[in-house]
Amino acid sequence: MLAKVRGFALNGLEGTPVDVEVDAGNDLPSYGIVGLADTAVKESKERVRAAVKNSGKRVPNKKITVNLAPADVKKEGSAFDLAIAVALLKASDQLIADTDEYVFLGELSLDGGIRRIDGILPILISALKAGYKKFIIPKANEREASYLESAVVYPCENLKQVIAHLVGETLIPAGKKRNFSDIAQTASYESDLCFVKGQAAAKRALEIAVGGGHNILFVGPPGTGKTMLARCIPTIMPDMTFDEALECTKIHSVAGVLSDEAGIVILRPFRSPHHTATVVSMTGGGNKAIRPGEISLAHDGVLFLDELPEYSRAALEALRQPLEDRVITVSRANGSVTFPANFMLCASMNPCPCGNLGAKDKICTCTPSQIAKYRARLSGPLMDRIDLQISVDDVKYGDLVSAQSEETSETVRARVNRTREIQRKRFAGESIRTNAAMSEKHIKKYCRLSAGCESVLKSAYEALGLSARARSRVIKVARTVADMADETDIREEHILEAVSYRGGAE
Amino acid sequence: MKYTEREVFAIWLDSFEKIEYKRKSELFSLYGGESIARFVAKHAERIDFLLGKRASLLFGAANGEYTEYILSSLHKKGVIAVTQNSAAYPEELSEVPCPPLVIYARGNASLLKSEKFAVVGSRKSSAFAVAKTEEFTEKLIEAGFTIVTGFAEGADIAAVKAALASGKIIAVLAGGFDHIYPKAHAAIFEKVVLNGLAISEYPPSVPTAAFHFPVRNRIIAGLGKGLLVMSGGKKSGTLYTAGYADGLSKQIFALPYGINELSGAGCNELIRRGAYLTECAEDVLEYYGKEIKTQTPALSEAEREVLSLLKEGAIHIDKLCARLNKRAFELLPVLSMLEIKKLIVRGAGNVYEAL
Repeated sequence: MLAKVRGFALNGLEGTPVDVEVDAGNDLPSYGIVGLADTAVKESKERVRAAVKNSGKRVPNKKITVNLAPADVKKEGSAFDLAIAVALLKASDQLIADTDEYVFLGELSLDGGIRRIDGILPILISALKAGYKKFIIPKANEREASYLESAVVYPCENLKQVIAHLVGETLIPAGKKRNFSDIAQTASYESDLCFVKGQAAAKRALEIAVGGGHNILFVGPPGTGKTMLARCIPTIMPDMTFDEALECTKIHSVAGVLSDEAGIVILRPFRSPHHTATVVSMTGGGNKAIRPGEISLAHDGVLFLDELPEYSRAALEALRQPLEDRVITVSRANGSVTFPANFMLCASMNPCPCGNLGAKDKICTCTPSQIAKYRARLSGPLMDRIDLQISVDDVKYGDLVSAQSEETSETVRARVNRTREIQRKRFAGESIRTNAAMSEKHIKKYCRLSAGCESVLKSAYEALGLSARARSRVIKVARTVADMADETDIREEHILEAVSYRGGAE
Repeated sequence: MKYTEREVFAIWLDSFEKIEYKRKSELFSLYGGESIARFVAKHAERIDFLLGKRASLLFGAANGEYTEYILSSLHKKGVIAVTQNSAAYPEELSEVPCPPLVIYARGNASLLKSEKFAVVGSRKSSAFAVAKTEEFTEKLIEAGFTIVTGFAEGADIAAVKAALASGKIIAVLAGGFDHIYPKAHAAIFEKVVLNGLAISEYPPSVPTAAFHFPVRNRIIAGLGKGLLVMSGGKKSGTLYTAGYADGLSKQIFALPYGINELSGAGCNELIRRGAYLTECAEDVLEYYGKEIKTQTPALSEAEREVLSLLKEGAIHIDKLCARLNKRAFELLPVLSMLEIKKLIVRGAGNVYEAL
């Protein structure tokens, strides 16, 4: 007899419906899976066999054929286990129930238990779009699925429960819905700007960077709190909206890095891959299914690259296109996938390989060619995308008698929100949302400079030796500074402040 | 460019890279007045005795074709050869140990006869020293000096850049013009050639070598009326230059540094040995009885306040905020403006210093 139930396969961040068909016919007993299945799917044979047996049912001694349709879509992973088991029971008349309106998702354990799977949220979102409403999912994935209003989700612990539910013996209560904003309120970052003592200029630069969506580079010797400052960036970014959180959660869910506790990404991601990271780990890829890379995991958050020049040239150059387009399309032999990659780049580097260049009480032991080589690892086009450069230093806070108390991240965030709002209004008819994304055309339109500003800019070039490519960076930053001061026009002091954010890495 | 027969002889002799300076100068001082053909024909025995196996180099090249080739390739590269027996040769240079037979020059060669002053510093000069170098250079030029310096990064190139506008610059290279070192300064070299003068004692094809630098420094020291050392550690090459200047009885000026400032330890050492402690360009000018009019740029109230505080000593931006009870964003534009007006400089780690 033939049985058919519904499963879902994942392709990038999109789910595609898969019909799981099982036929149990009278022939020499055998068990085969067809339909472009990878090893993990093929191995489901053994898991399903044991799980069915240990749930008080039996696998019939017949010729069993499992087909995953459409047959030309690659299937991978263990999420089809549950659907295959249910279809098998139906095909062997051990389960008589209507399963048409359900989507089955879950990996089986040998004892009949249902284990968590990756990518529940993107599958649910795609399935809802395709018109499916009811889902049988692993209990462990309950939280992740609880934020979607329209999905009716039945979290199950084992196969027995599923059978009992389907035949109507013991119904599983539908999973509780949870409200995103309630959860979001409970979360808080570990870092806070008020824990960073001093560094007034650096903090101001951070606020500008986040306010205008600029990328930022810290230049300074090791151990001067560059990482600590970077960790504060998410804390002053605007709160995540539900849509942003869903998008992030989709990516994290597919990559399998989502924490089960919250089930959703509430805090802005902060990713700091080590400098040995490969191109694929940065951009996404993989030899089986295409998985998101670090830049997508940092979507709507911060990608922190400590010791920037130590990264491989290829890995750094791979950042250029996503920094521009805000998405990355990863193409492999088995298809191409587009992941969102709207991250803020925060990087740090030493002034020279030994770190002492420019320090008064230390001697730099690097030769000029070593320094030149160190800096040449960062290409011009990459540096063009980093608007702010600041130098950080190890000032001893004990030296300082500051009357000002340190601001909390919350206060700064409120200001950042205002700055972002101004930009949102300004760019309402444009495809961009932040000052940093402005092209030359936008700069001409929105950053008209007075004669005074032009002359300040010109004298800054001459006196401070700014490079020609620095011009648009300075203007963009000045635009943000002006927005922070709630000024319509860029004024001379805004240009002057923007000029001060150069760390001397070029 | 037309060369006299005597000049051609010097250029011809200098073109043999395989023959060391000592032999060349000996031959030059003995037979410098003769034509090449005559010299080779008449003194063959002497040449054989002095050069041994390498004598054949000279004999083989003692023809019009070879000299024509050298002269035309110099001409093509825009190089002027100033020989020891030429009128354009600066007299000061004859005083230095082993005066170069030929000075290869590109640019305005008349600068060689102007009143020159040498300004040097180390490659690892602080932002403060670089800014001071620019200031000194501009003022010395205003007082009428042509600046003589090297071509390395740090203070030297700062002096070159500051002097470009007036064109009163002689950059002394440590290799031939075909091999500009450091390569990153190739663009500046072209500007120097256009506005000022670049010289080298090596024919254009000779690559820069490490041992050229200390030797080159004798030319810098020799050309300048005095020598100003902007920066230099304990083992800096600027100390060689100062050593040559001392040997030539030229006045040495040096910028004083703090005890912990290792990038200026060499300067302090020079002062200890008797160099003139120099805080501003006027100190140098006064020594030579010169004067320039200095104009102070107009300052706003906030700028004046910050500047007067910085005059008390270098200060970190955080401390500055605390002292003035202002926030960073209020001070940063003021500090940038003062930087642009070249009254202060930002060193490593957000420390600001008055110039």
